[in-house]
Amino acid sequence: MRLSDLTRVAVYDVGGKRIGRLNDVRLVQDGPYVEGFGAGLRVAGFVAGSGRMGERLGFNRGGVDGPWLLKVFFLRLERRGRFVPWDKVARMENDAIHLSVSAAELRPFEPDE
Amino acid sequence: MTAARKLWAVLDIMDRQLIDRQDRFAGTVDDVELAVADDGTISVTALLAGPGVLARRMRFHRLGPWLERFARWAVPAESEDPARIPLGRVADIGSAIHLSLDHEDMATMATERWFRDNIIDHIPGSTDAAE
Repeated sequence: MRLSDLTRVAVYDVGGKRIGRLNDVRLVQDGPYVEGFGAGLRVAGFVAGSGRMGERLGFNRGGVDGPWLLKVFFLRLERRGRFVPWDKVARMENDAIHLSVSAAELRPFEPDE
Repeated sequence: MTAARKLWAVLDIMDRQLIDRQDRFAGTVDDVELAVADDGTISVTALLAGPGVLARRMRFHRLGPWLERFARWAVPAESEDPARIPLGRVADIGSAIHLSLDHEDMATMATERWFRDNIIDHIPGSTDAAE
């Protein structure tokens, strides 16, 4: 599987409601040890949302700090984004990811998730 | 004990510059290979680079696989998959991605080397093109 197979795929909650598209995947370096690299990069979850310009530029993720005016502007626009822990994925299809929880059970995405 | 490092796959890895261990440019990350373990966890196993990988990512469903087959043909049989840089050859992920191998040893640069050796070098006046 490739990362590009996941990005931009539509995400649906347990009731079939469309949450948005998968915009980025959260990696945590606590996976199985990889010789030459260290702890492996494990997929912990992903952020699903509208895929608007602010998300594409990374303003809703940590590490993109400025210009502050643009950051404030885009964060207000992108509050509808949701962070989805990977263990909430029920099944994956070619063009869709189906979750085992409802959209209301997902917490709003925080920049430093 | 320090907290595990966190990265965004698209923001922090995709399209990043690859740097070999002699600080030379060595392409960019065109995709990331993921593998599912028996317990259901998904981990990064390799970075993918090369024109075929990029074409497939851009949804050129015929051109991408064709270019990937071409890269496999251009690489000597003993070489590994020409699109893969195993995670174990990644030294550091920062504003660029530093590798623990040399540009010449990278299978992902095979297509570029093939064009240099078989086409560019044969164009009159290209004596120094490979330098």
